[in-house]
Amino acid sequence: MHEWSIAFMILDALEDLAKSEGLSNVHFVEVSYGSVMELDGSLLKEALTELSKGGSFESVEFSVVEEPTVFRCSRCGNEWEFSHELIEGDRKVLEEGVEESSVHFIPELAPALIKCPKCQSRDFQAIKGKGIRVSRLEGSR
Amino acid sequence: MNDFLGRWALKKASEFERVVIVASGKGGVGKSFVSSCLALTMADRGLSVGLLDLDLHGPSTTSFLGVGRVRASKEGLIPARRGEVEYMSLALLTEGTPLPFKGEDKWPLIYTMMAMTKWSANNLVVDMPPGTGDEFLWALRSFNRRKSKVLVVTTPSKASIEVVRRAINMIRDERFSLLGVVENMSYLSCGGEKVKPFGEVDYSNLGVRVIARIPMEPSVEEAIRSGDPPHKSSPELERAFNDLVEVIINVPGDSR
Repeated sequence: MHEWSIAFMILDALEDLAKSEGLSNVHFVEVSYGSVMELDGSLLKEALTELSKGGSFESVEFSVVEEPTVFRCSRCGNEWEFSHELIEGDRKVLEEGVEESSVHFIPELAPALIKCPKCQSRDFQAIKGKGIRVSRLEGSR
Repeated sequence: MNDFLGRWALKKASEFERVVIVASGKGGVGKSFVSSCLALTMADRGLSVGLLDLDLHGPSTTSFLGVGRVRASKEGLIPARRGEVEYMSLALLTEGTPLPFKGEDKWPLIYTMMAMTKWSANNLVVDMPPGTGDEFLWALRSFNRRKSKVLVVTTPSKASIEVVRRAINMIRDERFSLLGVVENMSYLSCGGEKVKPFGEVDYSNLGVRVIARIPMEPSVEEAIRSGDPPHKSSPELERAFNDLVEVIINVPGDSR
Protein backbone atom coordinates (compact mmCIF):
# COMPACT_ATOMS: atom_id res chain seq x y z
CA MET A 1 0.00 0.00 0.00
CA HIS A 2 2.90 2.38 0.60
CA GLU A 3 3.44 2.10 -3.16
CA TRP A 4 1.03 5.06 -3.22
CA SER A 5 3.36 7.25 -1.17
CA ILE A 6 6.28 6.25 -3.42
CA ALA A 7 4.22 7.12 -6.50
CA PHE A 8 3.45 10.50 -4.97
CA MET A 9 7.16 11.19 -4.40
CA ILE A 10 8.03 10.18 -7.96
CA LEU A 11 5.38 12.45 -9.47
CA ASP A 12 6.51 15.31 -7.23
CA ALA A 13 10.03 15.02 -8.66
CA LEU A 14 9.07 14.27 -12.27
CA GLU A 15 8.66 17.83 -13.48
CA ASP A 16 12.16 18.86 -12.37
CA LEU A 17 13.58 15.59 -13.66
CA ALA A 18 12.06 16.21 -17.11
CA LYS A 19 13.40 19.77 -17.04
CA SER A 20 16.90 18.55 -16.20
CA GLU A 21 16.69 16.13 -19.15
CA GLY A 22 15.54 18.98 -21.44
CA LEU A 23 12.15 17.36 -22.06
CA SER A 24 9.08 19.55 -22.36
CA ASN A 25 6.46 16.94 -23.10
CA VAL A 26 6.96 13.60 -21.33
CA HIS A 27 5.07 10.61 -22.76
CA PHE A 28 6.87 7.61 -21.21
CA VAL A 29 8.31 7.02 -17.74
CA GLU A 30 10.00 3.82 -16.59
CA VAL A 31 10.55 3.26 -12.88
CA SER A 32 12.98 0.55 -11.76
CA TYR A 33 13.24 -0.81 -8.24
CA GLY A 34 15.39 -3.42 -6.55
CA SER A 35 13.75 -6.71 -5.57
CA VAL A 36 14.85 -6.09 -1.94
CA MET A 37 12.05 -3.50 -1.77
CA GLU A 38 9.47 -6.25 -2.41
CA LEU A 39 7.14 -3.73 -4.00
CA ASP A 40 3.95 -4.62 -5.78
CA GLY A 41 4.89 -3.37 -9.25
CA SER A 42 1.34 -3.39 -10.61
CA LEU A 43 0.11 -1.43 -7.59
CA LEU A 44 2.89 1.13 -8.06
CA LYS A 45 1.94 1.49 -11.72
CA GLU A 46 -1.73 1.87 -10.81
CA ALA A 47 -0.86 4.50 -8.20
CA LEU A 48 1.28 6.46 -10.70
CA THR A 49 -1.52 6.39 -13.26
CA GLU A 50 -4.22 7.35 -10.76
CA LEU A 51 -2.26 10.11 -9.04
CA SER A 52 -1.20 11.69 -12.34
CA LYS A 53 -4.82 12.16 -13.43
CA GLY A 54 -5.73 15.81 -13.85
CA GLY A 55 -2.07 16.88 -13.83
CA SER A 56 0.60 17.57 -16.43
CA PHE A 57 1.57 13.85 -16.58
CA GLU A 58 -1.95 12.57 -17.17
CA SER A 59 -1.20 11.17 -20.61
CA VAL A 60 2.13 9.59 -19.65
CA GLU A 61 2.55 5.84 -20.06
CA PHE A 62 4.14 4.40 -16.93
CA SER A 63 6.19 1.24 -16.82
CA VAL A 64 7.43 -0.37 -13.60
CA VAL A 65 10.33 -2.82 -13.70
CA GLU A 66 11.75 -4.98 -10.90
CA GLU A 67 15.50 -5.53 -10.95
CA PRO A 68 17.10 -8.33 -8.95
CA THR A 69 19.04 -6.94 -6.00
CA VAL A 70 22.53 -8.43 -5.92
CA PHE A 71 24.80 -8.17 -2.88
CA ARG A 72 28.56 -8.66 -2.68
CA CYS A 73 30.15 -9.73 0.61
CA SER A 74 33.15 -7.64 1.66
CA ARG A 75 34.56 -10.54 3.70
CA CYS A 76 34.40 -13.54 1.35
CA GLY A 77 33.53 -11.91 -2.00
CA ASN A 78 30.38 -14.00 -2.40
CA GLU A 79 27.69 -12.51 -4.64
CA TRP A 80 24.06 -13.45 -4.18
CA GLU A 81 20.63 -12.38 -5.17
CA PHE A 82 18.11 -11.17 -2.60
CA SER A 83 15.32 -13.50 -1.62
CA HIS A 84 12.75 -13.03 1.11
CA GLU A 85 13.87 -16.19 2.97
CA LEU A 86 17.18 -14.50 3.82
CA ILE A 87 15.51 -11.89 6.05
CA GLU A 88 15.77 -12.45 9.79
CA GLY A 89 15.43 -10.27 12.84
CA ASP A 90 13.04 -7.71 11.40
CA ARG A 91 10.17 -6.21 13.33
CA LYS A 92 7.04 -6.38 11.25
CA VAL A 93 5.13 -3.36 10.08
CA LEU A 94 1.37 -3.76 9.98
CA GLU A 95 0.03 -2.86 6.55
CA GLU A 96 -3.71 -3.31 6.03
CA GLY A 97 -3.79 -6.09 8.62
CA VAL A 98 -0.84 -7.91 7.03
CA GLU A 99 2.59 -8.06 8.62
CA GLU A 100 5.26 -6.82 6.22
CA SER A 101 9.01 -6.84 6.67
CA SER A 102 10.54 -3.47 7.54
CA VAL A 103 13.03 -3.89 4.68
CA HIS A 104 10.05 -3.55 2.33
CA PHE A 105 9.81 0.11 3.40
CA ILE A 106 13.47 0.89 4.07
CA PRO A 107 15.65 -1.36 1.86
CA GLU A 108 18.80 0.23 3.31
CA LEU A 109 18.10 -1.86 6.43
CA ALA A 110 19.38 -4.95 4.55
CA PRO A 111 22.72 -5.28 6.43
CA ALA A 112 20.76 -5.45 9.70
CA LEU A 113 18.39 -8.14 8.46
CA ILE A 114 20.41 -10.25 6.02
CA LYS A 115 23.69 -12.15 6.31
CA CYS A 116 25.99 -13.44 3.60
CA PRO A 117 24.64 -16.97 2.90
CA LYS A 118 28.22 -18.25 2.57
CA CYS A 119 30.17 -16.72 5.51
CA GLN A 120 27.36 -15.13 7.61
CA SER A 121 28.96 -11.66 7.50
CA ARG A 122 26.82 -8.53 7.49
CA ASP A 123 29.59 -6.57 5.83
CA PHE A 124 28.25 -6.43 2.28
CA GLN A 125 26.88 -3.99 -0.21
CA ALA A 126 24.24 -3.95 -2.91
CA ILE A 127 25.98 -3.90 -6.28
CA LYS A 128 22.80 -4.08 -8.35
CA GLY A 129 19.14 -3.33 -7.84
CA LYS A 130 19.67 -0.82 -5.09
CA GLY A 131 16.66 1.35 -4.21
CA ILE A 132 14.29 2.90 -6.70
CA ARG A 133 14.85 5.31 -9.59
CA VAL A 134 13.37 6.70 -12.76
CA SER A 135 15.33 4.62 -15.25
CA ARG A 136 13.86 5.94 -18.53
CA LEU A 137 12.19 9.13 -19.50
CA GLU A 138 10.92 9.81 -22.99
CA GLY A 139 9.38 12.97 -24.38
CA SER A 140 9.83 15.77 -26.85
CA ARG A 141 12.52 18.43 -26.57
CA MET B 1 17.70 14.77 -9.48
CA ASN B 2 16.64 11.13 -9.67
CA ASP B 3 16.98 11.09 -5.94
CA PHE B 4 13.32 11.71 -5.23
CA LEU B 5 13.38 10.08 -1.80
CA GLY B 6 16.11 12.49 -0.68
CA ARG B 7 14.15 15.37 -2.12
CA TRP B 8 10.96 14.27 -0.36
CA ALA B 9 12.83 13.86 2.93
CA LEU B 10 14.05 17.47 2.68
CA LYS B 11 10.55 18.64 2.02
CA LYS B 12 9.26 16.79 5.07
CA ALA B 13 12.12 18.00 7.26
CA SER B 14 11.28 21.60 6.40
CA GLU B 15 7.61 21.23 7.33
CA PHE B 16 8.14 21.10 11.10
CA GLU B 17 7.47 24.33 12.93
CA ARG B 18 10.16 23.67 15.50
CA VAL B 19 13.06 21.19 15.56
CA VAL B 20 15.27 20.53 18.57
CA ILE B 21 18.37 18.54 17.67
CA VAL B 22 19.77 16.83 20.78
CA ALA B 23 23.46 16.26 20.22
CA SER B 24 26.79 15.86 21.97
CA GLY B 25 30.17 14.87 20.71
CA LYS B 26 30.34 12.39 23.58
CA GLY B 27 28.63 9.05 24.01
CA GLY B 28 26.99 7.92 27.25
CA VAL B 29 26.00 11.39 28.46
CA GLY B 30 22.26 10.71 28.25
CA LYS B 31 21.20 12.21 24.91
CA SER B 32 18.46 9.62 24.38
CA PHE B 33 17.22 10.06 27.94
CA VAL B 34 17.11 13.84 27.51
CA SER B 35 15.47 13.54 24.05
CA SER B 36 12.81 11.15 25.30
CA CYS B 37 12.01 13.10 28.46
CA LEU B 38 12.01 16.36 26.53
CA ALA B 39 9.50 14.98 23.99
CA LEU B 40 7.29 13.53 26.75
CA THR B 41 7.33 16.83 28.67
CA MET B 42 6.56 18.84 25.52
CA ALA B 43 3.57 16.57 24.92
CA ASP B 44 2.46 17.04 28.55
CA ARG B 45 2.52 20.77 27.87
CA GLY B 46 0.09 20.29 24.99
CA LEU B 47 2.61 20.55 22.16
CA SER B 48 2.24 18.17 19.24
CA VAL B 49 5.60 16.41 19.20
CA GLY B 50 7.50 13.70 17.40
CA LEU B 51 10.84 12.10 18.20
CA LEU B 52 13.19 10.90 15.50
CA ASP B 53 15.94 8.61 16.77
CA LEU B 54 18.87 9.05 14.41
CA ASP B 55 21.23 6.85 16.38
CA LEU B 56 21.54 4.33 13.57
CA HIS B 57 23.99 1.96 15.25
CA GLY B 58 22.64 2.00 18.78
CA PRO B 59 19.11 3.38 18.99
CA SER B 60 17.93 3.54 22.59
CA THR B 61 14.97 5.91 22.83
CA THR B 62 12.73 2.82 22.86
CA SER B 63 14.20 2.04 26.30
CA PHE B 64 12.38 5.14 27.53
CA LEU B 65 9.35 5.17 25.24
CA GLY B 66 8.76 1.46 24.79
CA VAL B 67 8.79 -0.65 21.63
CA GLY B 68 5.60 0.49 19.94
CA ARG B 69 4.20 -0.71 16.65
CA VAL B 70 4.90 1.03 13.33
CA ARG B 71 2.07 0.82 10.84
CA ALA B 72 1.87 1.54 7.16
CA SER B 73 -0.67 3.54 5.25
CA LYS B 74 -1.05 4.98 1.77
CA GLU B 75 0.83 8.02 3.05
CA GLY B 76 3.78 6.03 4.40
CA LEU B 77 4.88 4.67 7.77
CA ILE B 78 2.86 5.82 10.76
CA PRO B 79 5.26 6.22 13.71
CA ALA B 80 4.77 4.39 16.99
CA ARG B 81 3.11 6.33 19.81
CA ARG B 82 3.80 6.72 23.50
CA GLY B 83 0.87 8.75 24.78
CA GLU B 84 0.84 11.86 22.65
CA VAL B 85 4.45 11.46 21.47
CA GLU B 86 4.96 9.86 18.07
CA TYR B 87 8.38 8.35 17.51
CA MET B 88 10.43 6.57 14.89
CA SER B 89 13.58 4.57 15.46
CA LEU B 90 15.44 1.71 13.82
CA ALA B 91 14.79 -0.16 17.08
CA LEU B 92 11.14 -0.29 16.01
CA LEU B 93 12.07 -1.98 12.74
CA THR B 94 14.69 -4.52 13.83
CA GLU B 95 14.82 -7.17 16.55
CA GLY B 96 18.10 -6.51 18.32
CA THR B 97 20.23 -7.35 15.28
CA PRO B 98 23.55 -5.54 14.74
CA LEU B 99 23.18 -2.35 12.70
CA PRO B 100 26.41 -2.25 10.67
CA PHE B 101 25.71 0.57 8.23
CA LYS B 102 28.55 2.01 6.20
CA GLY B 103 29.14 5.71 5.71
CA GLU B 104 27.96 5.84 2.10
CA ASP B 105 24.74 4.01 2.99
CA LYS B 106 23.81 6.21 5.94
CA TRP B 107 22.41 9.20 4.08
CA PRO B 108 20.10 7.04 1.92
CA LEU B 109 19.04 5.17 5.06
CA ILE B 110 18.24 8.39 6.92
CA TYR B 111 16.43 10.10 4.10
CA THR B 112 14.44 7.00 3.20
CA MET B 113 13.34 6.73 6.84
CA MET B 114 12.44 10.44 6.82
CA ALA B 115 10.70 10.30 3.43
CA MET B 116 8.70 7.21 4.31
CA THR B 117 7.50 8.44 7.72
CA LYS B 118 4.20 10.25 7.92
CA TRP B 119 4.50 12.61 10.89
CA SER B 120 1.54 14.52 12.19
CA ALA B 121 3.50 16.48 14.81
CA ASN B 122 4.49 20.14 14.40
CA ASN B 123 7.50 19.85 16.71
CA LEU B 124 10.31 17.37 16.29
CA VAL B 125 12.98 16.29 18.75
CA VAL B 126 15.91 14.59 17.00
CA ASP B 127 18.08 12.24 19.03
CA MET B 128 21.63 12.16 17.64
CA PRO B 129 24.28 9.49 18.02
CA PRO B 130 27.63 10.40 19.60
CA GLY B 131 30.01 12.32 17.39
CA THR B 132 29.63 14.67 14.48
CA GLY B 133 29.40 12.23 11.58
CA ASP B 134 26.86 11.55 8.83
CA GLU B 135 23.77 11.62 11.02
CA PHE B 136 24.65 15.03 12.47
CA LEU B 137 25.67 16.40 9.07
CA TRP B 138 22.41 15.21 7.55
CA ALA B 139 20.44 16.98 10.28
CA LEU B 140 22.38 20.22 9.87
CA ARG B 141 21.87 20.10 6.09
CA SER B 142 18.24 19.08 6.12
CA PHE B 143 16.35 20.86 8.87
CA ASN B 144 15.30 24.44 8.33
CA ARG B 145 17.90 26.70 9.98
CA ARG B 146 15.35 29.31 10.97
CA LYS B 147 13.18 26.78 12.79
CA SER B 148 15.82 24.44 14.21
CA LYS B 149 18.17 24.62 17.14
CA VAL B 150 20.77 22.33 18.62
CA LEU B 151 20.84 21.45 22.29
CA VAL B 152 24.12 19.97 23.48
CA VAL B 153 24.14 17.42 26.30
CA THR B 154 27.12 16.84 28.55
CA THR B 155 27.90 15.45 31.96
CA PRO B 156 29.91 17.52 34.42
CA SER B 157 33.11 15.76 33.46
CA LYS B 158 36.23 17.18 31.82
CA ALA B 159 36.39 14.10 29.59
CA SER B 160 32.93 14.88 28.24
CA ILE B 161 33.32 18.63 27.94
CA GLU B 162 36.49 18.38 25.86
CA VAL B 163 34.60 16.30 23.28
CA VAL B 164 31.46 18.42 23.52
CA ARG B 165 33.60 21.46 22.68
CA ARG B 166 34.30 19.95 19.25
CA ALA B 167 30.57 19.53 18.58
CA ILE B 168 29.91 23.13 19.67
CA ASN B 169 32.64 24.39 17.36
CA MET B 170 31.15 22.45 14.49
CA ILE B 171 27.67 23.84 15.12
CA ARG B 172 29.15 27.33 15.07
CA ASP B 173 31.21 26.64 11.94
CA GLU B 174 28.04 25.46 10.24
CA ARG B 175 26.29 28.64 11.44
CA PHE B 176 23.53 26.63 13.06
CA SER B 177 21.63 27.94 16.06
CA LEU B 178 22.89 26.61 19.40
CA LEU B 179 20.24 26.61 22.08
CA GLY B 180 22.60 25.87 24.95
CA VAL B 181 24.11 23.16 27.08
CA VAL B 182 22.12 20.67 29.16
CA GLU B 183 24.17 19.32 32.04
CA ASN B 184 22.89 15.81 32.64
CA MET B 185 23.69 13.80 35.80
CA SER B 186 24.30 17.20 37.31
CA TYR B 187 23.59 16.44 40.96
CA LEU B 188 21.94 14.08 43.41
CA SER B 189 19.30 15.17 45.87
CA CYS B 190 20.21 13.98 49.34
CA GLY B 191 17.95 14.89 52.25
CA GLY B 192 16.89 18.11 50.56
CA GLU B 193 20.45 19.04 49.62
CA LYS B 194 22.04 19.03 46.21
CA VAL B 195 25.16 16.91 46.15
CA LYS B 196 27.41 17.25 43.11
CA PRO B 197 29.41 14.01 42.91
CA PHE B 198 31.42 15.28 39.95
CA GLY B 199 31.97 18.75 41.37
CA GLU B 200 31.31 22.13 39.77
CA VAL B 201 32.26 22.72 36.17
CA ASP B 202 33.08 26.06 34.63
CA TYR B 203 31.39 26.30 31.24
CA SER B 204 32.34 29.93 30.60
CA ASN B 205 35.12 29.06 28.17
CA LEU B 206 32.65 27.21 25.94
CA GLY B 207 30.92 30.53 25.33
CA VAL B 208 27.49 28.98 25.64
CA ARG B 209 24.89 29.15 28.38
CA VAL B 210 23.75 26.20 30.50
CA ILE B 211 20.01 26.00 29.98
CA ALA B 212 19.23 23.03 32.21
CA ARG B 213 20.78 20.96 34.97
CA ILE B 214 19.19 17.52 35.09
CA PRO B 215 19.49 15.65 38.38
CA MET B 216 20.84 12.12 38.59
CA GLU B 217 17.77 10.17 39.63
CA PRO B 218 18.19 6.45 40.47
CA SER B 219 14.43 5.90 40.18
CA VAL B 220 14.69 6.46 36.40
CA GLU B 221 16.01 2.92 36.02
CA GLU B 222 13.01 1.62 37.94
CA ALA B 223 10.69 3.61 35.66
CA ILE B 224 12.38 2.14 32.58
CA ARG B 225 11.96 -1.38 33.91
CA SER B 226 8.33 -0.91 34.85
CA GLY B 227 7.40 1.12 31.77
CA ASP B 228 6.46 4.20 33.78
CA PRO B 229 7.05 7.66 32.31
CA PRO B 230 10.75 8.35 32.97
CA HIS B 231 10.37 12.14 33.04
CA LYS B 232 8.15 11.80 36.10
CA SER B 233 10.51 9.62 38.10
CA SER B 234 10.82 12.38 40.69
CA PRO B 235 9.26 15.83 41.13
CA GLU B 236 12.71 17.38 40.73
CA LEU B 237 13.32 15.65 37.42
CA GLU B 238 9.88 16.64 36.18
CA ARG B 239 10.57 20.25 37.17
CA ALA B 240 13.94 20.25 35.41
CA PHE B 241 12.39 19.11 32.13
CA ASN B 242 9.49 21.53 32.49
CA ASP B 243 12.00 24.35 32.90
CA LEU B 244 13.88 23.13 29.83
CA VAL B 245 10.68 23.13 27.76
CA GLU B 246 10.01 26.65 29.04
CA VAL B 247 13.41 27.74 27.70
CA ILE B 248 12.73 26.08 24.34
CA ILE B 249 9.30 27.67 24.00
CA ASN B 250 10.58 31.11 24.96
CA VAL B 251 13.69 31.30 22.82
CA PRO B 252 14.08 35.01 21.96
CA GLY B 253 12.63 35.81 18.56
CA ASP B 254 10.77 32.54 18.56
CA SER B 255 7.04 33.06 18.89
CA ARG B 256 5.91 29.57 17.94
